Amino acid sequence: MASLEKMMFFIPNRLFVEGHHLYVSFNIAVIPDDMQVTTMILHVPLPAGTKGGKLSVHEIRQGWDERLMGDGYRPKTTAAVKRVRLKGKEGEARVDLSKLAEKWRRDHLDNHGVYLRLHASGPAAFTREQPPYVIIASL
Amino acid sequence: MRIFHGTVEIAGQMGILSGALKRRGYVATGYNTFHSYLGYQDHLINTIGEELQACHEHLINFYDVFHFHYASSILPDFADLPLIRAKGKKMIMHHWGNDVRFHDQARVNNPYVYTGDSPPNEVIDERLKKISAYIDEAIVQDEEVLPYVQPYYRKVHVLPIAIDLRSFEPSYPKVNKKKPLLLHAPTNPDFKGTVYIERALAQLKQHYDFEYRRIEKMRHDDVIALYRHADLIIDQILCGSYGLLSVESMALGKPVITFIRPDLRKSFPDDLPIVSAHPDNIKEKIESLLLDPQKRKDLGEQGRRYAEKYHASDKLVDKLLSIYQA
Repeated sequence: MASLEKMMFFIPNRLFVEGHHLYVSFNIAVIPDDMQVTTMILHVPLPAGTKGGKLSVHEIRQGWDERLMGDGYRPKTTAAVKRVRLKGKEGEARVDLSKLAEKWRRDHLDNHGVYLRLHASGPAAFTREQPPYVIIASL
Repeated sequence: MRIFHGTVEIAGQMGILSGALKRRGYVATGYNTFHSYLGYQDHLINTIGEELQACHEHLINFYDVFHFHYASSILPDFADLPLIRAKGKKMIMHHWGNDVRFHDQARVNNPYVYTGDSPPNEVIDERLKKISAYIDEAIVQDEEVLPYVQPYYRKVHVLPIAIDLRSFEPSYPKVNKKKPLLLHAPTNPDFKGTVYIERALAQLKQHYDFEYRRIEKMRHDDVIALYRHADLIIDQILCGSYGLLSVESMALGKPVITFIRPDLRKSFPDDLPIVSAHPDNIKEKIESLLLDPQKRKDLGEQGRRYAEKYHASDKLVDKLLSIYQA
């Protein structure tokens, strides 16, 4: 297996899933100041049986937490900033979010994360048991 | 395999083990909630307990193996352990000494030991019972720590302290140095026996020309840079076993003085080059090395070989993986 020595792994500090909709944020402000982030890739486990379709990625523009979301609250989001075409039989989608890394790192109070929408047919849904994660490469 | 290390970083071990696992291609992260002036940060997420608790569900869902350290876990009162167990995920508890060193038991074979950093016996016992109700296997660094936890677990593995040797270029003592430099770095002077060491040094100073430096409250990286100039390192002379400073010193090619309990000596490899000394003979042991620069150099070379053979993280990770996969 390839070395992952220069990688850091982050799991969500907030996560809400509902069918084909997923809201997630990561606290990456803990990365030491003297490290330089080179890439930040979001890994999204896809619902079982996902065959084809697209995944759109939107920035979340407002604060939120898991309890509010459970009560029906939904924060505002941007138009899609990324669209990833899903190929058949992939277990997960990978989205390059490197452009958001410095903002999430330095201005963590305004880091509300991203909203993902799965555009695919079928009943399969995101689950909390398979959380997305980010892999950050640094120098 | 995704491996969680948490939540107390002791002697840099969570980061070192996580780094070794990552080099093998495994997803591994150390989540540290114990922050000290030593400033460990490699392969760690330095966080706080409340933040970990808030995302415990995601941690438990994401990771496959939970390697806890220093009798800690994610939720207060070990409430996460039944949740992890219910998911059928592997858990290991890594005990480091002060978390489990029963005061009376520690004195059975060691009249010098200091246990002031350990909780009361009943607290240790209660914690171990709670932990071992859900965790079957533990890891300890040597046979000094082993007897404290052995009655509680189904299996206890001995995994020596790990270091990343790439950070330790050896610098052997020079035999022609006129004024040798002696270093002692007490993170806790009571535990290391600093008062006895410095009393002996004060007496020796009247007869020998050497420089002594006590290193305190410095970042770990800066301390290592200072060690490189040392001709002799005096570590801990009360505990009865050796810790990270001794291992790092050996990796740097330095002779080391530490107390190794006589009854434990046979549990270490025959080629252990540490010079054993306790409060009653520390002066004589230092003196013998002050008088013999060639021995200092020889011990330094032996120490480097010993660290490479028994403490290299890239070798120890094989054993660690076998523990995870058992």
